[in-house]
Amino acid sequence: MVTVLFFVLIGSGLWIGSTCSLSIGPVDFSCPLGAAQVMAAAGVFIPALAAGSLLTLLLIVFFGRAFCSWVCPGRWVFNRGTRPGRGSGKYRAWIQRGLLGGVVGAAWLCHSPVFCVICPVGAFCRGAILAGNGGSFLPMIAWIGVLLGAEWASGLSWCRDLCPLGALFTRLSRFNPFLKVKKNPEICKPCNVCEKSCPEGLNLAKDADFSACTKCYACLEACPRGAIEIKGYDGKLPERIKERDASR
Amino acid sequence: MAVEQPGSLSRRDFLRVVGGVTGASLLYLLLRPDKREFGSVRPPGALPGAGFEAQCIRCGKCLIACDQNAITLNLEGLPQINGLSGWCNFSLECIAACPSGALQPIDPKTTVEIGIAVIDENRCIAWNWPGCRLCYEKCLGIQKAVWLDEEYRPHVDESLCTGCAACVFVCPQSAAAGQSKKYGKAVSLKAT
Repeated sequence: MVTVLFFVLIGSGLWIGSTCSLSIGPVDFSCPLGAAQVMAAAGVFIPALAAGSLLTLLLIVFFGRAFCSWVCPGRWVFNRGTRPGRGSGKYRAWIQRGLLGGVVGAAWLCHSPVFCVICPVGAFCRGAILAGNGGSFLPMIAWIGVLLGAEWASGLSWCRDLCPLGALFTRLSRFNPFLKVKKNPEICKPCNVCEKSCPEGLNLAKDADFSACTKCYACLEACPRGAIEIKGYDGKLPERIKERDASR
Repeated sequence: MAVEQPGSLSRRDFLRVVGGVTGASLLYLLLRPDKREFGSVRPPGALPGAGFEAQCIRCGKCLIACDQNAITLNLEGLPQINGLSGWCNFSLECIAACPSGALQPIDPKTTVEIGIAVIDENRCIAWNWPGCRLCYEKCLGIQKAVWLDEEYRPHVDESLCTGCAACVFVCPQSAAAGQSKKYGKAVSLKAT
């Protein structure tokens, strides 16, 4: 619903642009990955894009990966063949850093923002804009179909393992203290239902790092015991408590 | 359960290979270079050469900003003007909308040139039969770059033409029939 609202606001002209670069009144947001690619490709510093990316990065720190499950149209398409647990190994952080470096490096090498051209979110927005102006939506559908096929054939999940945007948001979400899911340890019995319901394959009973959480709150509905709650503000509380307990 | 023979394909792997090949061929069919690819130019203020491809963030804001509907996006997501959907009146709204500086500000008082119109004499109605002068009449109100010779055949004055694509837009030949030699838009744009 929020995705639909987002695109209705863009379509009605109240918000101008796409997910790549969005103007809400006088405020410009821009995709941080797109901005990094464009600056690497062109070899110039673009102040407007840098400022827009900073605003977006602030939003990510405030809301974590909420973009992925509330705004991004990709969640309608991708994550169909996800196998829980796969891809969440201990090298995941380095895979994500490698993805980000690879995307920006490819843009620098090719002198063109390569990932922007194939980015499914950008392709969706461009297809929607084209369709709204008398063009064709068809190449966009074909391209997203190809990505879906690649996702299915590899057995990976696009949003969790492959999307460079998701990787960037996950890396940044470590600093996000707001609206986090938390288990209530008194009620929780590790039944792993949350892991099966989670598009990212997170397990609230076992995992410690929830930076990949997209705040879709599927676990909240799935938990049979109601042991999951949303913490409005949670600035790494568990570690502090651990330290305090250790010092006693 | 069938016992897996060494060196034999499992059903799942076979389906994956078939799926991959089908996907790749679909991709090729849909994204191969279009034979009907129409002459197009970059929007006003575009950076020259490869700098435009490098600096464009592919957000489509220029397309939204253009109230003439002149700009379309190619498969790479780059904006272009080909005159099939509209023509450029040099309001320069796209430059104001561009967030990345791929479209650089230009002085609106100067005459902006984004390309040049080329008439295909094989397709042009007026060159083959008497009658049509729509591009001439359209250009009379804009640049007067199209002139008619004594047989009422249109020519483009290259010193006056700005590549605004109005003549392409009004050309009554069909854009969809562009593949044939005889039919299809008789005017197209060429980058200068």
